[in-house]
Amino acid sequence: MSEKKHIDKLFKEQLKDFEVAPKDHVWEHIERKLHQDKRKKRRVIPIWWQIAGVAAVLALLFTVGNTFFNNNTQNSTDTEIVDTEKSDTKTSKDLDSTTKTNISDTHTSKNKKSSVAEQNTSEDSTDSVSENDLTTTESSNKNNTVVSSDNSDNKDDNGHHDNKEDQKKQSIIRNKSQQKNAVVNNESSFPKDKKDTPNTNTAQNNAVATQTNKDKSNTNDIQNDINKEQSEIDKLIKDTKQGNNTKIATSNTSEKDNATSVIDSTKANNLIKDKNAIDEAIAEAEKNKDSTTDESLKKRWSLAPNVAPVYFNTLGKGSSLDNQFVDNEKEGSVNVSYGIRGSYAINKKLKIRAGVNKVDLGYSTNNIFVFDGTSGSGARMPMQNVKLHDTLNTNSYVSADNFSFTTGPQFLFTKEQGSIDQQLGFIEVPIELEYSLIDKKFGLNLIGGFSTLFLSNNEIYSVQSNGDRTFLGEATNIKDMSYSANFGIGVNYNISKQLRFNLEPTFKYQINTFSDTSGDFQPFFIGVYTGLSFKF
Amino acid sequence: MSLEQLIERCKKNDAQAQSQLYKLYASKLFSICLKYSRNYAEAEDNLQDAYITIFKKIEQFKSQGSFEGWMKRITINTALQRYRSAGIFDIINEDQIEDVTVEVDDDNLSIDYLLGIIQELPDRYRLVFNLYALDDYSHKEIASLLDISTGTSKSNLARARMILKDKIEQYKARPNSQSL
Repeated sequence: MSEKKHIDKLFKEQLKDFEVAPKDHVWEHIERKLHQDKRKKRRVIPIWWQIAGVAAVLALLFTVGNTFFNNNTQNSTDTEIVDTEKSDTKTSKDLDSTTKTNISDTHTSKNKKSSVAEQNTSEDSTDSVSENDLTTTESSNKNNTVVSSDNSDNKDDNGHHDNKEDQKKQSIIRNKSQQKNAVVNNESSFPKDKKDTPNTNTAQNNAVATQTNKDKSNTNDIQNDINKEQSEIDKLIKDTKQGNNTKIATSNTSEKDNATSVIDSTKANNLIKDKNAIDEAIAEAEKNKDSTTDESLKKRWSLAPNVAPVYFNTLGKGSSLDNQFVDNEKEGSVNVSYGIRGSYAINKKLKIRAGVNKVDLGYSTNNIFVFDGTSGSGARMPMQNVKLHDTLNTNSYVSADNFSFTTGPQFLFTKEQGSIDQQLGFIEVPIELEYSLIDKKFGLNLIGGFSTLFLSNNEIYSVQSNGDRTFLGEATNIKDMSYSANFGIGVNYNISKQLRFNLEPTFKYQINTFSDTSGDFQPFFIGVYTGLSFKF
Repeated sequence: MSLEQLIERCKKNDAQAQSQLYKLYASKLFSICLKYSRNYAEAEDNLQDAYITIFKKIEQFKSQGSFEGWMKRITINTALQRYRSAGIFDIINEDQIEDVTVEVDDDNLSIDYLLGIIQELPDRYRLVFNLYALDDYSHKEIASLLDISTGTSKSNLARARMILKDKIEQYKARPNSQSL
């Protein structure tokens, strides 16, 4: 009947061709997991990195650009500081002497001339210094020649007063080169100081004098132009309060100079000179402007509580609840979001901001029949993504759109027609960049960024046409953490220097909020964020 | 479409191709899962995990060697992983027994019955028996796979055979054994 066989062989032979098809749900699980992972890995994170990358590049560009453009002014102030330390003790003396020379040299009120004269002397002296000093000589010489030529040009132009634009340019060039000159002087005079050579001293003095004169002429010009000597001094004093030591020296100087220039100007009759001076003043004023805007940037931080009506809906046709509701009409509801946001100004144009908001979202799926499952054709039809709160609830929810008359008898058991409301609450953590297009009393800016959404509320209600609202349960397909990509336009009004009113309509496209939706369900919400921001 | 093309598409995360690949091998791999698991539900979980690993690692599959063999190894490994972490081999203070030849009558025993008694085996015996008797692993390979000694592997195999033999004999001794 049977022969003895090794047990291994028995099993092996029997099970050789053994194959069992697994049930379908195994593949569904696998697919869902793969899909989920794919979404997580292939979509969300790349978008993140893209957004973050763009933001980082923008931020970098602006910062680099900003520091690059600010470099010039910063350099000059730096050297001015050096200037002061050296000359502080001497300034008063120097100034006295320079003013004396002013008066004695020119005997007239021609401030301009005197300054030019002085510059020339300073050049001479620097020349003599640079003969001793090797490294700095060449550059200083170059600068000097530029200065001198400019000066002479200026003189001519002044005299003929025809080419104003040229003068402007030249005056700017001169300003710059003067500063350079001063720097060179100082640098070169460092080692000399120890030796106490009279030459270096004069060089230094002259350097200071040059600066002084420049300032003096500027102040003088502005004064002539606006006839407000005091305000100009105030301005300078204000500048000095910014922590620039040199400017203290300069403002001192300018006060003194002003005194002399008052005398000068009383004697001055030469309007042509004044006009040139106006040009210079304009150049100077432009510089000042820059420095004042820098000052406003000192208030980099701001805090803004905000509140917004938010409207939630889906872009495509789809349902987060069940396959059968894909074609049903969706009605977004308007809820409230509120929160607080802090921002930091990277530079004049760009702010980075982050905050925390509480967001409530909701929408209703309309046109739904509710009928009692026990009296109907039998089995209750649960919704794909809803975990019912009351497990004894035997009601079935069926889309009226899908309701065919072949299932007619069920219609007889219909309890109500109504809708299903899905309510979601999130804690939103936005990180955004704000780029300012217009920055006046009224401002306009573009906002882009992303939010991380933490699920805090998840409820589904059945709403009947008579207004009855029943809590059904919660959705099973909402992720605890999801994201949104945000785009907005901000309009703001500066109430005061500290206080600003913001209005920001923002579109937020939700990513990865639902793990399993039917149809093309692409949730988004729009909020009009309103609030006040305080700078500090 | 050739298997190579299908694999290539799976490497690109093509959902359709993944579905096709699944269907192509699901039955074969599921039978492995059933042999290595305690029951049907566990086998389903196993198959699921194995396929996810396969799709995730399919990029690493080089065209040399059998794709089916590769998938089988992953499936078996997934099954072993489940027990490796559970530490079923920690208790080894049993006497090691010698490998003896176990022979049984070759009646037409149904596959379902044989599978049933395999699944009923204690985990460590089942795994070793499966690996050695059904999937041609050597004791050395089994020892390294399960992190046990070859001695333990041999002993486990012998015990598994004894248990299976007893069960078959008991089964045949049943009064209505003819009616199976």
